[in-house]
Amino acid sequence: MNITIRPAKESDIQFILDGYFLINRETPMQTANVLTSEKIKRDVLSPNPKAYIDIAEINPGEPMGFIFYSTVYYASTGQVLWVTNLYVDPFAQGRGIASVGKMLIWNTVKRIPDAQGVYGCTEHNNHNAINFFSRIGLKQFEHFLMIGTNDLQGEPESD
Amino acid sequence: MSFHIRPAVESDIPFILHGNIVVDEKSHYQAPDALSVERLKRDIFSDNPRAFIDVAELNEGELGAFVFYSYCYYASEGEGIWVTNLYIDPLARKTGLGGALMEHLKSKFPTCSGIYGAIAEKIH
Repeated sequence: MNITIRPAKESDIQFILDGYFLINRETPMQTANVLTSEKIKRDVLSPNPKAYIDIAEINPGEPMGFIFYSTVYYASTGQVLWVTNLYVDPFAQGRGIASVGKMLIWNTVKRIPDAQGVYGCTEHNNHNAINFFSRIGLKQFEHFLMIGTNDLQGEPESD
Repeated sequence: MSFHIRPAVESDIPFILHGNIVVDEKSHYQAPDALSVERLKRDIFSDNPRAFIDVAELNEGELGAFVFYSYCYYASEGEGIWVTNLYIDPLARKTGLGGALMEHLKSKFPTCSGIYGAIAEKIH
């Protein structure tokens, strides 16, 4: 199977949104915010992108998956590749779904040569995603919890 | 206790390295690439920083805390702030400094979607 990886373009937006909503149908998030066409145009397909999307194609014009990523900095690690979404079309199953996912990840790693790791997060009970990530080389960190807030108007608690 | 929050400068490096070691020890974490003077100079105190550190200076000019952060991006949320370390000196704890540093980030990045981070499960 010949897989090619290329940067996303505006004509991929519908494929990206379809994949994004399929991922989130399986793992409903506790957020009111969703990815939109406007957000992709503003934050990804702009001259000063805040994040990046690469598309995997099996045949030209036949997208099979995408990786949506940025970088994040860890004090104890340095810069790492941060994968916010990794989607592989179910149609690619049996045609090497893990190969497509693996290629998307490791092709991106090569493009960020000083990356010290590949990180992302998924729900702790999403065993399908955890198994899939394990098959493409991403293991669960045993003892870390993610914390955060989207309530930027909230009062801080005393430390 | 009054304090002033400002961007870190190179003379703050010993305090930052000390705080980072304390945080790693508390989380029983062995860093694959421990933070170093060289890495701070290259990644923070450079023309194109990859991350940022703001320090809280106490009224006598002593350093009481720092927050070490970078940008991050979530497909659903958009651009946010990733806090990789928040250190508060034992003498400055229970003074509201941690909350003040978070408020500082919120006002510094008013359009960001949220503030995120990860902690070791062993830290309660």
